[in-house]
Amino acid sequence: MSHRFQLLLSGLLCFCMISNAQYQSDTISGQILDEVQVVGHVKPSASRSTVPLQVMDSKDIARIGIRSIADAVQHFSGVTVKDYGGLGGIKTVSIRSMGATHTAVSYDGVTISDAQTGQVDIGRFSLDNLSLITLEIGQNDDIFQTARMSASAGALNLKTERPELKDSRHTGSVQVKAGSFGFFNPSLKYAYKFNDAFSCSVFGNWQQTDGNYPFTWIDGDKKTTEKRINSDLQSFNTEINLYGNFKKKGNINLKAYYYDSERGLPGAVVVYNPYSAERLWDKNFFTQFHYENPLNKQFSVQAQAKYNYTYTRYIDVGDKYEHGKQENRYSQKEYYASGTLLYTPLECLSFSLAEDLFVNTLWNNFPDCPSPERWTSLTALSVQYTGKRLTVTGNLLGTLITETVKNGETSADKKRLSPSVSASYLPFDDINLRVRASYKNSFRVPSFNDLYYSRVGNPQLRPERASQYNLGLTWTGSMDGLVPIIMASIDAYYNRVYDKIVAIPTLFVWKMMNMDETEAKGLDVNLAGEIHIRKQWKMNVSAGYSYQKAIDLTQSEKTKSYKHQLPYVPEHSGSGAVTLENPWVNFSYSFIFNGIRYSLPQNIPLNRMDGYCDQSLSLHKTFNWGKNSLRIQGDIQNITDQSYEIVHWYPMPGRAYRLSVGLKF
Amino acid sequence: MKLKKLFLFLCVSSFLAVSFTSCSDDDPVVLEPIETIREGAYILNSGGYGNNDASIAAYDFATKAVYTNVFWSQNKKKILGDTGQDLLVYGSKVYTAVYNSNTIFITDKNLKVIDSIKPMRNNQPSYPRYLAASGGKVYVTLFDGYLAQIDTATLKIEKQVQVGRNPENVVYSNNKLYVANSGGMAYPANYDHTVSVVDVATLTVSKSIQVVQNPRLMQTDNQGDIYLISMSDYMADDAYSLQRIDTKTDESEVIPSVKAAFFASSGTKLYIVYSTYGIDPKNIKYTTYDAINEKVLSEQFITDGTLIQNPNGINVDPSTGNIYIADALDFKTTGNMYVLSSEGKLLKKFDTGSIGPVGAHFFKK
Repeated sequence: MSHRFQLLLSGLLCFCMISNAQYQSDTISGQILDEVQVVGHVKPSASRSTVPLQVMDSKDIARIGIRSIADAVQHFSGVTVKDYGGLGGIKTVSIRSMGATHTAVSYDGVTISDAQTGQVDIGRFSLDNLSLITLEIGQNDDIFQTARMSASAGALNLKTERPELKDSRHTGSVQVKAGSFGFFNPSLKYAYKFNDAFSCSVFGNWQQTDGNYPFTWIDGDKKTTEKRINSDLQSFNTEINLYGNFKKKGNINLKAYYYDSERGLPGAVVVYNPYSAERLWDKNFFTQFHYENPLNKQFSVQAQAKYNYTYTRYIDVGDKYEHGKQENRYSQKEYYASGTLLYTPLECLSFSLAEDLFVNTLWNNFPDCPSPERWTSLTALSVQYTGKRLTVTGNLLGTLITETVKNGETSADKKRLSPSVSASYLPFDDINLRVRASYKNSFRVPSFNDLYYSRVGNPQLRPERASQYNLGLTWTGSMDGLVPIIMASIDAYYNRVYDKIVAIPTLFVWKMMNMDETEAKGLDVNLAGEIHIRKQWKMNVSAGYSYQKAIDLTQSEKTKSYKHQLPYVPEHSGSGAVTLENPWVNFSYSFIFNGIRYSLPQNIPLNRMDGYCDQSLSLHKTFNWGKNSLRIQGDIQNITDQSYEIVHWYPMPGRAYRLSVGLKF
Repeated sequence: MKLKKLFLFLCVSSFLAVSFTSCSDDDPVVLEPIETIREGAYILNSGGYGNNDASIAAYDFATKAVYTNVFWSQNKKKILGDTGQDLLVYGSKVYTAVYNSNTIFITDKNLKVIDSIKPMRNNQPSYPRYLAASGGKVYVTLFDGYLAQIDTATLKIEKQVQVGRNPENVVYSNNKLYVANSGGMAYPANYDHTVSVVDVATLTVSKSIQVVQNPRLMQTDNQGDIYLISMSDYMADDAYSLQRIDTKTDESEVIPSVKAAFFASSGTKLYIVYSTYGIDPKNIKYTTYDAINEKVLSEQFITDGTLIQNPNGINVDPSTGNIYIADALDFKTTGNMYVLSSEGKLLKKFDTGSIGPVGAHFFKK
């Protein structure tokens, strides 16, 4: 097997070498933009960035036929999506093996928080309302942002679509998607312009799935096929935005968001015992306010505020419980305010100061609920130099955290300074090649569960610290008129996470401890190209490849995994997409590949999980008349019906079909 | 031309991507015969919760050889299941309770499957926990609050009796069965605090003994006394209380001089493992208790300084007096088994092949 594997892998690598969706940013209809030219639309430049930045906008999403945020993120390199399978399974993002708790997820510039678990399920956000998904590894070059955006090892940013109402008073769209395993998803978008200053938009999305997809497992000498049960999901989310543009007096955006869902939690497949009765209800409401004012050439200010409420109810039914069931209820609140001042004394030099203040609370129905309350102050001071050849960004984040609890021991106050610095340099005049280097120091605070969960929590936990280094090259070029643009990037990195928080068993009680230490060395390669075959025939090819050697450096007599590859981190992974635009039916093929992984820290055959390659096909066609358009898209996911798992014993769906019809007016 | 080549290359590459995925690897598996073992111990590994990686290892007394994953290798790679809870060697058969898979496997002494039982009630799994045997019957506690009696000829559950909440250990003494009702699923409060006394002939509960809350483990001595460990709420002063039940009066009393997390009985002595909260293995106490004269004999029965990281079970081989202590380490990597002589000297240490070894169970063929 090993020779065949190597051969096939090298074939795959070659494929990766010639081709990336996320690097379309610097083109407008096949023209290479001058590096210094300011682009009219908001899509940031991946090649100019001082840190690895990957971008996918709504056009890429439509072109490739991306179906969810998790799907989009899997086309980025250097990240691992932990997916528990199906529409309702939790999906989290880990950057370069540092763990999902080190990844910030922002929604229109404001970080989404979950103080209870410290990680965000990206499966809960709808793709249909987004215009841009970006992933930055390290410190963002945009220094006019909140302090909280500096507080993680990297960030996944979700930007919603802002309606363009130039000629008409209103615009809107209706979309219906339906597919395998009882999937049904209608959504509606509508925007209205009151006057030159005010406009508003409404988005509504409802989805449901039975999630009863088949899966197989090997029991001795026979293959057993079962259906996933208790895997259904019903969710509804709506969002209302009010936009105000007062020209020289700045602009505002007021958003109200609501999400409501009920789902079955199928859990891990337990062999010989298909019983599953765990249910989860989630409600999430937030409202956020954004104000931005470019006061004059030198000063700009922005302010944001957010209120977030999350309610979770969990039930498991079974006679092993005292009253035939177990019910847990949790609620979390966050009050958040942020202000940023940008000062640009010279065209090439700017400074910013951001101050964020927020309060997080958690309540649950446990008898000894500690009801923790956390106050956080973040202050970020940034400086940026942007010259013709050189861009340098520096950032220093100061964190102050204080907590109180109603019951039990309180975690000590935390103070910390976290620096980052990054640079990008253009060494030659005639080659669009940039060298970039970056360093970032960051940390993640223990979650409320880590600190206070009944018996298991440990208030004496310290934050997990992370250091990351990146060295990379980006290149943009072209070949005649046939290949108007090729973009490539290669980044080598090293990172280390100290004081990792893990659960350690001590007799019958597990306790959270700062025990582990990890190290990751890796390489991310991205290539993208656009090929103009003939008039109205355009091909886009993109691919990414990641190599990760992420190892456990915990020195303990208690473990046998010292220097073993971390669980669920493949050494080799990649993705690719080929799309063909033509006058008839647009076609797209994409794949996500993950090599051999281990389900547990010890790299032994028992824990080994096979690699997989999930391939999708998408066909779509748009009909235009007047201002209206109708788009029809058909997808086949996992076309080879490969049975695979991302998380061991959480099978992923096999071949699935989906049809979407969208009408824009 | 250039374009044509490029397109061709793309097609070939995507084909390779497809065929790569169909190339899954099968490591050559050496089936280890355990038929040759005449006398030895089965080591049950619980596996990690949700991993379906419970397993059994076999240790050959004569050759000192260790065979891991023997249930799997003896049954054409059949999976044992999720959360191996208890194993019992009785008569010519071996009974293995796999908690989360809700299955009791009945095998021969080479671990070849003969039959299995999946106890259900109200369309819900009953979840088997611990096993005991007496008079041609095997008894198993079911976590939904029952004690079931399995006939060793028909290999079926023939009778069940309702006991307390979440029963754990069951032991036989003085013509009665004693069931420790933990109520452990009520965590973190409102545990059960009773031991049910079940009449063997009629399989009915004759008495309920009040004990320290969250009782879990039981051992018997040669006088018919039962020793019991209650976890309480793991933190309180009465956590890890050792108690003695006099089976003549069915009264329970706390033994205040000793705390216990795990224990094993040789019939005359109890070997007790206890650790105050913490992760330093040097803090773990290994006490021997004289079960006949009711007094502590030693507070350190490991005499050669062997350090065990995270003890997860203890057994005494009745024929040799050797002590087996299972070390679950971090519960994420494969555990270790320590074999100590009755004088407390390390005889052998081996990897058990899976996560979370829970105990050693002795057999002769």
